[in-house]
Amino acid sequence: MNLDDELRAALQREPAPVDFAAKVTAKTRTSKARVVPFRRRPAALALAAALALAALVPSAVYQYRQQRRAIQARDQLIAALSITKVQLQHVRERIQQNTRHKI
Amino acid sequence: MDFAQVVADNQSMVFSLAVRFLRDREGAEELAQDVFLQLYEKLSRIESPSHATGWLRRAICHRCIDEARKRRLRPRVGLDAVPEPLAESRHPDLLLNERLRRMVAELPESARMVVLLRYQEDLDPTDIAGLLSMPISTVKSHLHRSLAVMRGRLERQEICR
Amino acid sequence: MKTALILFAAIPAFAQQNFDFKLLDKLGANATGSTNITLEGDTLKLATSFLGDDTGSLKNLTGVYVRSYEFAKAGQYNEADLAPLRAYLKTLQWTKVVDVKETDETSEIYVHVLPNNRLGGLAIVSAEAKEVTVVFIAGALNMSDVGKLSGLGIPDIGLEHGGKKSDDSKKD
Repeated sequence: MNLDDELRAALQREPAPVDFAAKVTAKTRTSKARVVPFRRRPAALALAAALALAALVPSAVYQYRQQRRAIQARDQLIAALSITKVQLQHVRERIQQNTRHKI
Repeated sequence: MDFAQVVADNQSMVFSLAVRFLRDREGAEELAQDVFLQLYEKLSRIESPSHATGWLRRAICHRCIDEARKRRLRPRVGLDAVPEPLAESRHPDLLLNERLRRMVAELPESARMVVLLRYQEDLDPTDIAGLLSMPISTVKSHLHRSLAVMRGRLERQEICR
Repeated sequence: MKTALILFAAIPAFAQQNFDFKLLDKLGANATGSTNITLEGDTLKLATSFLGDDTGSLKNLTGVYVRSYEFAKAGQYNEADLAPLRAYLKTLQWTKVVDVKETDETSEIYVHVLPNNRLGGLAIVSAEAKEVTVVFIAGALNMSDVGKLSGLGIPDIGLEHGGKKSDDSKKD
C-alpha cells in the first residue's frame, strides 16, 4: 500500500454544504450594518487606541511567543509518547504472536 | 473583487480543511463562515483571487488550530487505544479512507494541519512552513512522524485481521 | 519498512551521568528521513503543563528524547552503533524485561525500578532492517500510574504487575 496515495484519496476535499454560500451572503448583510468606515471615527479616539496598543504590543508578543513555545513543546511530547506507544504495542504483539506460535 | 465569486471558488477548500481538522461538521461550517466574513470585512485590501485564496487558507488553518486548542480536542486516548473495527467491509477502500481520516484527526494539532495541507491541498513543505509560520524542518518532521505512526497503526490492524 | 527503535528510560539524577545522544547521530548518517525530539528542563515542564495531565503522572519526568531514522534499504546503519547505548543501560542497573529476537528484527525493553514500586525510567530498543528509532523517557513514574498514561499515549504493557519476560527472552 502506498500511504501517500491512500492519504490523498482519503483527504480529497469535501464539498461545502449546498446552502453555505447563501448563509455567508446573509451574514454579510448583517455585517454591513455593523462596519463603521474608519474615516468616520474620531481621529483622537483612533490615536489613543493606537498608542494604547503600541504600549501593549511588546508584552503581548512576548506572551504569544511563550505560548507558542509551550504548544510546540507539548506537541513534541505528544509525538514522542505516541511513538513510544506504537512501538510498545508492536513489541507486545510480537510476544503474543510468538506465544501463539509455541502453543 | 467579486465576493460571491470568492466564496464560490474557495468554499470547498475552507470547509473541507475545517471539517477534516475538527471532525465536527457544524463547528467547521460555523468557522468557515466566520473566516469568509473576516475576509469580507477586509475585501478592499485583497488584490486578486489568488491573494484571497491564500488569505483564506492561512486564516482557516490558524482558526482551526486555535479552535481545537480551545476545545482541547487533542486525543485523550492514543491512536492504539481506540478499538479497531472488526467487521469486514464490502467496500474496503471506503473503510480505509475513513480509518485514515480518523487517524489524521487524532494527530496532534500542528501535525494534523501539516498532513491536511500536504495531502488535501497538495502544498509542498516550503509553502506549509510559510502558511503555519513554522520551520521547514519542523514541517518535515511532522510529516515523517505522522506517517510513521499511521503506517505502524495500519500494519498492526492488518496483523489483527 | 523496518525500523530500529531505541527507547531510553530515565535515570535518577544522582545515579550517573546522562547519556550523550550525539553518540546516536551516526545511526542516521544514511537516513532518508528522521525524527529528532529533545525535551528536558523548562521546556519539558512547559510541555507537561500544557498536556493536561490530570493524574500528575508526567510531572516527575526529567527528559524525553526521540531519535528515529528511516532508510531506503537494509544495511544502511551499523548495529555496532547501538553498543554504547546497551553498555550505558547495563551500567545503570537496568532490568531487561523483554527481549524478542527474530530473523531481521530485535526488540528489547528495559526498566529501571526504584524503591516503592516506582519506575525510574523506561527504555525500548527495537531494531529492524530499514528503520531506527530511539526514545528516552527519563523520570520517576509510579507503576500504578503507567496504566493511566494510555490517555496520554503510553500503553499498558503490564509493567505495573512487575513486568513479564517473553518466552524468547534472552539474558545478557
